[in-house]
Amino acid sequence: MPDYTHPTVTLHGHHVPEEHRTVNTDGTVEVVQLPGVFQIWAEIEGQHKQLMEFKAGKLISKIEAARESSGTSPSPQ
Amino acid sequence: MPRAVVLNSVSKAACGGGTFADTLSANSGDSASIPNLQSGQGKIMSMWGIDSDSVAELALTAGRVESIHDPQYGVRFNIPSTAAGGAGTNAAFPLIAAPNYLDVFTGDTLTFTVTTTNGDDVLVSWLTEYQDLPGVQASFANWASVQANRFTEIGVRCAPVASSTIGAYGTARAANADDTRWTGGRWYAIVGFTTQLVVTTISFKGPMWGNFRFGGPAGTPQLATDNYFLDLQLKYPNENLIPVFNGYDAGNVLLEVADGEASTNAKVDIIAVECKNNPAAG
Repeated sequence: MPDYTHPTVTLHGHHVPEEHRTVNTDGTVEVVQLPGVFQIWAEIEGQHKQLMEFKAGKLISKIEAARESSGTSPSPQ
Repeated sequence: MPRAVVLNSVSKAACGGGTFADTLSANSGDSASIPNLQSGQGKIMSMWGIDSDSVAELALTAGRVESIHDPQYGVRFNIPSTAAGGAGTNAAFPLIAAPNYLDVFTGDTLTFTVTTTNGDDVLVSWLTEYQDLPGVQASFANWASVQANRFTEIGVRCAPVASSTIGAYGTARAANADDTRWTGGRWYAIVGFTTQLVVTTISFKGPMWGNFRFGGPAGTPQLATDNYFLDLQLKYPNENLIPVFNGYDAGNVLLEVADGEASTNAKVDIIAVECKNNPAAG
């Protein structure tokens, strides 16, 4: 029988943005910031286990839109 | 007979929602209309799609009953977007898979209407084979010919990014933009590709394929894409479906990504068999 050893587990969200680099034919480098991915992690007795990951673009834009409409500032990262 | 295999996509960002209330529009450079074919006929060999937010149902209709049963709902397809990890994690589900196909005819226009939820984004892509498309002589090989000319194998990184407009193609990226190891004078048969993130559609385009798109899906149920074009060819034994280009033309092989999310960097690795002679010749 499995024991419910950890009835309460803390979840963390990690936004992992990304840089996309393009080296142009003239040697210049173009760097574009991409939304990257959002990860959901569980913390179990100090150990961290990633549960899932999804693309961050839509989530981030919805959060930003909600903040703009409510006039709130970003939450601490 | 000039033969071509062409990738097209239709999409709609921020759907209004409702029962077959939204009609998808062709992506830039693509078309839902069947061109004027010498033989009068072509076939859709593969189709896939996604609703990035919730489940959806697609109705594909056209003018000919020989193609699609009726003009009311035609062929209805479900898109189970919340399966396998939940909405936003799947990128593409198969709608038509080889060896099944749909016949299409000259002058017809495919219409895609969708039942979905307000605010959803929907993207559908498909590959159509035209046995005789005037003005095109696309460079495709079969597996036997690739094996007969095989020298070695290579995997090459290319990192095209999807558009910030959901469903649209992003900026085209040359096959040698991130990895320059293609060798001029050698022939490359693209057997498939792999990606780090799931995406709805990977497009390849170049003059060697008549400047039409060719490509495939990279969604969760279809992630075994390392042999995508090879597998498609084996399912149609009499068709040449493995795209071929010369290493000198690597800068003209352009990759694009269309996805159900904005600005996805799929980080494509192109898997190709390097040949000393052109496997598409003869």
